[in-house]
Amino acid sequence: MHGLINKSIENFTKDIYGQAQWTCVAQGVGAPGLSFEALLHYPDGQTFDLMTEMAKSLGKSHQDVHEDLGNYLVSHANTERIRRLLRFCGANFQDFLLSLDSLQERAKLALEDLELPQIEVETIGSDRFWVLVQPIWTGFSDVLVGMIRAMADDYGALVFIQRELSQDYWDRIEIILIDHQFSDGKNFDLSVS
Amino acid sequence: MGKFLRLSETSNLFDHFVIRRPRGVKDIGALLDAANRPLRLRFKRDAKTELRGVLVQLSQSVYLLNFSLGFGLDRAVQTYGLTEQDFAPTDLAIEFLYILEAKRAVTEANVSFNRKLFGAKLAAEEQALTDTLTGLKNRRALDHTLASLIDRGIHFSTVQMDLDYFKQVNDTLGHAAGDHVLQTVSEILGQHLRAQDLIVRLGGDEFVFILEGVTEYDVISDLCRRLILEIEKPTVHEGQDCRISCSMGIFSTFGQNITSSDVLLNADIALYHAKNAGRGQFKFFQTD
Repeated sequence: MHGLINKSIENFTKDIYGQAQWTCVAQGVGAPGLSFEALLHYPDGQTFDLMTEMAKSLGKSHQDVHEDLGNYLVSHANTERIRRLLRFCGANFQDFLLSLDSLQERAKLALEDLELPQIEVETIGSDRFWVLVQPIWTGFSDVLVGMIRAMADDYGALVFIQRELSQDYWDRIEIILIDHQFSDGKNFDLSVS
Repeated sequence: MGKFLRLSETSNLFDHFVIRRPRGVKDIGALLDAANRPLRLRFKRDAKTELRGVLVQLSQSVYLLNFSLGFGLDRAVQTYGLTEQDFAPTDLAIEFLYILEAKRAVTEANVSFNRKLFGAKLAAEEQALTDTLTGLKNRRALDHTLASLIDRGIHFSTVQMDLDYFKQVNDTLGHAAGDHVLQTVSEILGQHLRAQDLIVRLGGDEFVFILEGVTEYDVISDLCRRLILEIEKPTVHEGQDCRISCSMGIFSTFGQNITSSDVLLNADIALYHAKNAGRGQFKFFQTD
């Protein structure tokens, strides 16, 4: 697993729940003093163990913890970089949603050795979409739900999002775009010095 | 581009643009001659925004000057407050800006990671030159320093110091007391020697210190006398008095060609004489 993912989980834990919670999680996975480097690679199982430990120690479901992580990656002050790179994907929320099927390539442009799961977007009605996620990373589609919800907020759109159990092997997220411009959303300049 | 520039039918291209390459294109005739060739141009009132362009002939008397932002894209976006709507859907401007921003983020991560690695490397090297119990330097540091001083022809004095009655402290009061004594001695040395003097624990109860640039008999004698006095003061460990003394042998080097081992040997010979003379004292190396 790319260190960026694990580092993001570490930062999420520290920023939202504090250092004590991270210490607890690290001990829980049998690695006291654990800290990740964003540019290195780590064994895959460790990522899953971290999230399981988080869910256990916070008394939350896996789904909730993953969604919270997704929300954090877009909306926290410390993750502005990620939020900006995602905003580049579309001038409005609908364009952003439709661009998700090239998220894998976009991520690779930024970091060549970062391989996100594949995503496909289908338009199934006016303002109704399915986002299909290749289920190679446990919990990734829940993280994506959190991210999409936060991005809707960022763009100022009002959406209804529902995650469904795997159909034909891939995870499916249903999105109903209730209002394209419900609020002003947050400002985004193409270039900041 | 039409957002901020509107040419009327009577206006002259050269009122608004400056063609930088090819050189000398200052009128329409010269521009027509440069048709189909890559152009570098800029707005007359903005010297900083570089544009790229090409002039193509569409018909008998109609030409199209197609131009765009090149590497100046990032700056132009900020200068003119450009948004996605200002670019054609086929323009790669947004992708360019995305990659630029991603590159900055990754470079920053790289720099910070390298700094961390370098810091870790320095710390590891520092560890390799330090005696862990006392925090003084170790034999490796001694070898480096001696070699360097001799190489540079610098005058210096080497003092070999052994603690007297240290073994008794260890045997009667235990190793914890022994460690305490060693740490106390290190503190005394640290307090009385200068920052530029190298203080080394060779192991056991053997110490060496290097006085860089100091070879005066009186100065060194004063120092040694003071050190012996301080070291002989009993220290307390878990309610017990720990008493030791020390013997010192001094050898001074005056920039001559000599090996590190000979320097240490001579200081050792002087130390031997100090011990023989009854301990609790210092002796200078003498050739006799």
